[in-house]
Amino acid sequence: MSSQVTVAEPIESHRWSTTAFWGMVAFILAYCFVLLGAFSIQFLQGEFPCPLCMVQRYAMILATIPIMWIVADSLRGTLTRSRYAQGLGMAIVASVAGSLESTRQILLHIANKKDPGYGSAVLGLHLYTWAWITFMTVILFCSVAVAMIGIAVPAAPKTARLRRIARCILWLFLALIVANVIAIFCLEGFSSVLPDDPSHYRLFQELGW
Amino acid sequence: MILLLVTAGVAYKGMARRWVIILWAVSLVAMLCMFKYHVTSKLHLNF
Repeated sequence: MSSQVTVAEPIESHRWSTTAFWGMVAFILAYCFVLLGAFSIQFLQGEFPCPLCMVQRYAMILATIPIMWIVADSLRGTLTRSRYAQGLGMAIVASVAGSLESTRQILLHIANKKDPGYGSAVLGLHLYTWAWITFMTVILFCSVAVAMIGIAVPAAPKTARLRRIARCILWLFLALIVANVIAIFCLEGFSSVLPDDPSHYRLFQELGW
Repeated sequence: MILLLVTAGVAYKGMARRWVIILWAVSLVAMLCMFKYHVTSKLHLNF
């Protein structure tokens, strides 16, 4: 009598794997829009981001980097199930950290009843409240992706045009990180930290422009 | 922020897994330290 050990293999669906890939790309694109929205308020409306706002931007970028890693690996054809799970876990950790930061800022402005909040509101909510909503959305999105890991690991499309679209979105995200580096350098100047209530670009003042 | 850019570059280029994770973890700790530095007041709230 021979004993047989059977290992349950996950049943993968091509359709779900393609959906998972574009879901990850949509995640990156969504955060690109959020970062672009923050930039438009900073430059078009002339509002300066406070240090806590900047720390929340860091958290958004930190949550998106593992997803970018997943998409880049998928495009290279080197994505494994364990690496996918690792990336989703990293995004959840960054989002939990980001949500703590936004919760702190929300409570800071709720604590004082006369406090009108920092900056102007968008659709009735301040930017830090929107940030908290995005972090909660990321946690939910990644949790669903983890729950579906048995049937869907992102698979990049074979078509060159679709691959180019995905790559362009990755480049847009990288360009936004570069733009944030420049923006923060202009705000901080030669100091290592942001002022508590920024009212001008310190670098230009330090250079006498 | 430069650390985040380096981490993103390393992840995009597909360098060794441990480098991506180490850089990402260092960025996370740096972000939390910065958050702690900027949190200066105590909240007077009762839950």
